[in-house]
Amino acid sequence: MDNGIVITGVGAVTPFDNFWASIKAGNVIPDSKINLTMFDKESTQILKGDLFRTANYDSKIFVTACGKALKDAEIDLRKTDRAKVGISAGACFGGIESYESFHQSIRENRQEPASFSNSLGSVPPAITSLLWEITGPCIVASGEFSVGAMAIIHGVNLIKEGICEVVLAGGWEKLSTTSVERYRLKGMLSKSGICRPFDKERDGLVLAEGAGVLVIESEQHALGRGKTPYAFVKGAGMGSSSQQNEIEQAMKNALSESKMEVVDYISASANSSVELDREEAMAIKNVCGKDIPVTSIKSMLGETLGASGVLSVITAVLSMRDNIIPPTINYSKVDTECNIKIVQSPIFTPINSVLVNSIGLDAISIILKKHPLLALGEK
Amino acid sequence: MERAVITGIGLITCVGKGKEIFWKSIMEGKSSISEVTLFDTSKYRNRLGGEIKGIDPEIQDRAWYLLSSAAKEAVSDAGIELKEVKEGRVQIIVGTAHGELIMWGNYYDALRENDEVKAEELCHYFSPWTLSKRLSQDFGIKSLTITTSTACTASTIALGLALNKIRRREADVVIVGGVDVLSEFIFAGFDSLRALTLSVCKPFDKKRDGLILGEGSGVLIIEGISHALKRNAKVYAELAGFGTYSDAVHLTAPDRRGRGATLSLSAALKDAQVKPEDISYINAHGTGTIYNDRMECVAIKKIFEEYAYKIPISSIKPVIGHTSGASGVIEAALCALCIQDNVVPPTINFEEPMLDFEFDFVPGKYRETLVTITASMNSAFGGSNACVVLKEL
Repeated sequence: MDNGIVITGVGAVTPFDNFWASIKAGNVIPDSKINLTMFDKESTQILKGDLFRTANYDSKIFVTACGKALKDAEIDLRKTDRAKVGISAGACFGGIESYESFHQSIRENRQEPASFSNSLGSVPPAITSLLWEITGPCIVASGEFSVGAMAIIHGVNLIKEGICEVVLAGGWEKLSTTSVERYRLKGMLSKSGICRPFDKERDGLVLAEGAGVLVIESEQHALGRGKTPYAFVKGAGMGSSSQQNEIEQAMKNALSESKMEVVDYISASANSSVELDREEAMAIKNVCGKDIPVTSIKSMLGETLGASGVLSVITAVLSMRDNIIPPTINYSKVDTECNIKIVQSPIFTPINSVLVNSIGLDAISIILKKHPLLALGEK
Repeated sequence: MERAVITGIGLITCVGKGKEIFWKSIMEGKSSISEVTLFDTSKYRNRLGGEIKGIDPEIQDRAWYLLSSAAKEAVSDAGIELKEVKEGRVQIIVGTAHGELIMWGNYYDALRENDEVKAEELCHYFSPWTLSKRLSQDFGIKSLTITTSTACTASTIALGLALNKIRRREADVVIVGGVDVLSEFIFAGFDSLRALTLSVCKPFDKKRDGLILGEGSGVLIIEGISHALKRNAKVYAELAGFGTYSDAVHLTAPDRRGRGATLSLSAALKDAQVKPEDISYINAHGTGTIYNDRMECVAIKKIFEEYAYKIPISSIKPVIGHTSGASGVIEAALCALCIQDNVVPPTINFEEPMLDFEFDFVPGKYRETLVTITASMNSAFGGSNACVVLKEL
């Protein structure tokens, strides 16, 4: 039996003008920052009047991703009891640019109330609740690379517990001096500026901005409104660190909750970090064997921190719809410590299930399975 | 479904370190609000706050200092050996509005001054999510960690997540903390929004004019009931119900109709399977601002109707200040102590009720009364509201 939690809509806002087309094609992001003018039309349509003038960049990218996801899900929230709609979100350094500007305004004796109100990481989801008059629970988490995946799990739980029928679950990240300098000072950034997951010459992270949002619902609710879901969220697992044994734990727990033994491919968390990629590769080999296809979209997209787990899930969902495994680019030198099968160019093959890893402070694995009605539509 | 109980309490606020001094000061209504010395307050309209005095000003990670102090007390109070709990069965959830904000400010200043050495030294621990991870490392346990960041409801929502983890048997023990520090950032922020009182914080009073900021940390040990009983733990109360809903009306102002607070309160009661008239005490968010206090009264009236006039309601914020994201856990701890000792705390500085809401705010002096079930309410920026219900076991 399926647990009945489905994904019916996805929204991605990244430095690419077309996220999925670029990922499929194996393109590299044109810039680490999102060119908001690309999305201005959409965000101005969504964010109205005063809200648009005072909203910070964090809110603009998160709200735009929410708008895209709702549109993709073809859902009219006005027809839903909005106390039964929830929001679950996460970011790594949420609202940090407003922290920077308010801090600076104090130093210069000209306190800006708007920067203070925007400095909280809970503001972008709060603005989302204002725009769509969503009165259900709003859970916001702060965490490292895996926080977006954590937000998805919190969202799934809101539906499982019967508190919500529909949840907007997502993550976002706006790059700031605070975050970029932190990773530079910690020696985690790539000196070459090239993200090459699992490659022998990988040398650290390439940071980028992003926002990703999913519309998740109970299957009953989706079918009830005549919407064919993309996929089931079949199971999730967690481990308490980014070490190999904890990643294995997360993957095994996700497989066991999904009652599945294999998946069609693995969307890896690998972000070109020397240690993290090795730990993940060894965990994948131990749990799923060395022949399962593995790919990391971070080779194209970079590490989008709070958004990365959600953008990986979005990719997995679209890869099942289009039956394609996206490539891992920049991979040329085999690292014997990462002895797994890296997908180097797109593979066109039926995809029915994907395991997505998202690893940061914790290790999180989420398993997605194509919805039978979506599969039926292909024939 | 496994039930969740509270087996340990740890607290640190401006009244002092430890739950004994907290309990005594709250009951005596002895406020420790004083002139703030952490930064220069001369350019602000108010100079007072619930600052914790006597902490070495050289300590950069003040939030960690407060959180680890409360966490150690809670674990020792619960009499639990965390390393003896089955591996992977302990989780940690910390709620904070701003985390290590003072350290972050110093880090950001160092970056702007191109002081690489200082910036490098400060870059490791300023993010809110490092607090829960540090706690797990400090205790020497492998633990999943979550950091909730919904401003002033952050640790209330952390309690809700913990309750569901216990119910689903994902953990045997969840250490739930709330922490926030008093910094010039928050002080200047509330001042710029004109939310600070120009006199004293007097929740629910007709002449209330704003809040007093505080700082502190509260930590609760939440345990599955069978785990607690098996080790003969002392149980303060059952964490019986939780609800959280949003106003969806305004970014900084509460909904005048109290929609989110009403939904949260009613959901928490339903979740705990209790009726409004079963509640013996309400701990209000009671910040002392004009709109928050009225909004809460509207919500209480909607749910409790005529019984609203019979139920003791109080706010401890005039005593310890508004501790932002820490207030949810600190106030839940207070409710657990009320259940243990059958006494409810006073709302100090309360003189005259506002129009329409002449409720029993327990003015001035504590009251001995049977306390079996409590509701504790919190609200935040962004229209977030949350409520927890505790029950005598």
